[in-house]
Amino acid sequence: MHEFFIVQNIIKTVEDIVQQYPGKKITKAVLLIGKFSGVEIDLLKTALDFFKKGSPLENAEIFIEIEDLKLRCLDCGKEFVKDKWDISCPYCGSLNTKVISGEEMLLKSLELEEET
Amino acid sequence: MCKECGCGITETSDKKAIEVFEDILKYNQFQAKHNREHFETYKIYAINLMSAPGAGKTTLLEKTLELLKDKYRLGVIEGDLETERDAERIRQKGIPVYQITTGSACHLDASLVHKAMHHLPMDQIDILFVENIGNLVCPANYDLGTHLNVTLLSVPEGEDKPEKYPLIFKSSELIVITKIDLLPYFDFNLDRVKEQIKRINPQAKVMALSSKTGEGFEDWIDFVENKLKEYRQKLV
Repeated sequence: MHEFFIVQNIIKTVEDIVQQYPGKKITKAVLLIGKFSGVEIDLLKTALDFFKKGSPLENAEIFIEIEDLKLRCLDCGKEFVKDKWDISCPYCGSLNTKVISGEEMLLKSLELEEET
Repeated sequence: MCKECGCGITETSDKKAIEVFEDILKYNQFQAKHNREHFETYKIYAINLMSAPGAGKTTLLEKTLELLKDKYRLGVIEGDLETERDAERIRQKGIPVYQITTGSACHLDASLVHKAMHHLPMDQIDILFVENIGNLVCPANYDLGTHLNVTLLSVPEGEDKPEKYPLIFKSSELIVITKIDLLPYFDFNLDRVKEQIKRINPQAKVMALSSKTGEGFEDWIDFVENKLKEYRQKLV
């Protein structure tokens, strides 16, 4: 259950950014979370709802985009998606593959509006 | 997106959209990098021990300390201790130990390790062991700045654990299968587990040992000593 720590980090990241935009408030935040980032999406949502109070995200709509585990085989060059963390290439069986996405935990974008 | 230059900052009437793409865990990454610099200043080789509760981290650590203490100056940061008695046992060996009191936290992070470092005589340590919280989930996400991430998997836990908790196995350079003296009593096929780990993390080295009987322990000690040697060569 480290989703609480992750939310703290999200809020800190947002606070750092919003400082550069005085007089603006955040109306929307988009997170990009890989399926294999180690975050439980439902727990993250619960933790966000709870801990965003009193933070710049309090009145923001928060969207979570989920990223599949995508890999590229460095031997046969094919790209593929996996449901579980098994990095072997389904086409040629090689273990020489590279993760393209699915591990990330990013604050993707924010939308700001003039504070009224 | 901006039509002029392709940037993500566009201004509509009163709304402003900013593309951020910031790593949510970047604060931990900064701190981990800082810890690594600290370790390098003092030429300390730091090892992060992770596993589920009861996989035998403390027992492995105690035996390791016993075998290495006459050759190297050791230090321990304890995140996972059942009782203060364990820390006391380590202290009695004359090894500096600091216990992080996490309360009910589920993992150590780089800043907790950093704080603990200031309680240890850093200029008198060659190898620092960090015993993480017993948990196969959360510790996987947090770089502590250590040089070697090790995950222990004990025979009684069952051979399905790498598949169930792949992240911790993929973020480890070394996987140590522990309690192999119990192999006759469990359906735990070493080869099958090694095969499974290979599909998760082909670069990881897998070894098997028993802290109780000492079987395979030499491999672990050799591994640590070789790693330390490599590290020191790189520093020079």
